[in-house]
Amino acid sequence: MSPSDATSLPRGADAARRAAARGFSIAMVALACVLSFLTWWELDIRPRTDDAYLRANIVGIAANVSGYVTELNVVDNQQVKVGDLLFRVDVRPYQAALDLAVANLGYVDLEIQALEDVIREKEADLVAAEARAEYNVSYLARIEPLLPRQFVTPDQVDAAKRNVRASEAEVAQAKAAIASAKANLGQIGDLNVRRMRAQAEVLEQQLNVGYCEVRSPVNGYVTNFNISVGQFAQIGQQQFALVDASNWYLLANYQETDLRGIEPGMLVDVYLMAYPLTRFSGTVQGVSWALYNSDQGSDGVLPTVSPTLDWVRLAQRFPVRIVMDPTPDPIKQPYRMGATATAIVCTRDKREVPDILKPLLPDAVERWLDTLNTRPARTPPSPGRTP
Amino acid sequence: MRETRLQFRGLPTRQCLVAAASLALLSGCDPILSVDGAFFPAWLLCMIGAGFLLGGVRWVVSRLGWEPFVRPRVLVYFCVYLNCTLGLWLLIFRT
Repeated sequence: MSPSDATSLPRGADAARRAAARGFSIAMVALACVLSFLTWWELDIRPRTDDAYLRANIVGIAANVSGYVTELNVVDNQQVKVGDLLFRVDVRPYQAALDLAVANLGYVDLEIQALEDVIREKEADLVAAEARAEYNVSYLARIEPLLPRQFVTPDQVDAAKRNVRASEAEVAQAKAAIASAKANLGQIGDLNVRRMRAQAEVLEQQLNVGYCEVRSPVNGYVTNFNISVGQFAQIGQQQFALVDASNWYLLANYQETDLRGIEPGMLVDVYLMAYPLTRFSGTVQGVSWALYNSDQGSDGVLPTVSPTLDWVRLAQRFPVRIVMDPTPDPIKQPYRMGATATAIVCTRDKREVPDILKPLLPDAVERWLDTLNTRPARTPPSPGRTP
Repeated sequence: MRETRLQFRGLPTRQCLVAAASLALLSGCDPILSVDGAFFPAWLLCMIGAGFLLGGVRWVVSRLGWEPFVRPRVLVYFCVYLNCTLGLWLLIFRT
């Protein structure tokens, strides 16, 4: 109906329309105010960000020994459990080294027996030297009183004295030989250091043989698996990565203006782009304390400050780490690292009418707003999770 | 006038209710919408939808013959547009 038609209508209908239109105008303006307030309220108490990415911990898999890869037991993207065999490195050189170490251990046992025999031999030498010394001492004691009566010559007495001293030296020599043989045996208390050394070598080679089987340290998924049989694996060189599926995080970059309401332990609604109709949940673990600022820094000992400053400043974004609850459907809706997400932190379990508005609103409206905005009770976070 | 009223009475109320209920059930969708791999913010789509709704509202207002008496028209229609945008957003994307 065009405005010109309005003039041709009866006066009463005209007045009714005028009143209705005025009511409509006022209602629309008032509704705009109310909806603007509700929207501001929603955004204020439920800060949200689209700049969020799902992530998990990554374990780089490297062999602890060098050698050719002889066997691959997993394929890319496969799920693995703790202890599953991932791949094998050529074990033969390490097996040979282990055999050598075991043989060496046996040889060391024989050596120890031989050294113990040497000690017994030296002990027998000591007994003989002591016997000789005892005889020489008693011989000197017998002939020395005969010298004044000249039954023996002074030379005979001197020879006997020489023999006593020489046999004392022999005894000391035999004792030193025993000590030397004992030291060579390497026995300290109940332990023999020669044997311990050989045993440690066996253990080291056993470990190396064990390291030839590379096993999964986590429950997770194989990713970026690009090695093949025959590749030479260096010690410590990462061959591929495992995604640790036991803990999933969301790194949500919140504007610094939103951070004041976010505290550890708050529940978070998470939407993943891949499953837009499913609401996932998580818990705030913490807000980052530091951020690299590319505008500020230092060159040597002096600070560098950019002389230009934008008129419009953009809010910095700080990563908020959110611990995700396990996905409700791991088969159809698994988490994937790097997935785009939206995070909405529920800073309060219940929306309350702000204090500033309470005097303005009738009680009935307040009650109605409370009932309208009370969220259904959330299931408490699983006890296994550490917020 | 009578025709207009009849038209309004003739609106399939049950369908209206079903539509409103399904909109309410949608509440808590992902606030980012994927259009063939490109993610659009929900408010942008709400603004586009509100444009169509505004056209509908204006059509109804002119059918009712209120249009000459709506003043100030720019403000009122801007508020209608704002209401449609915010209403859509709050209905569908409020968690």
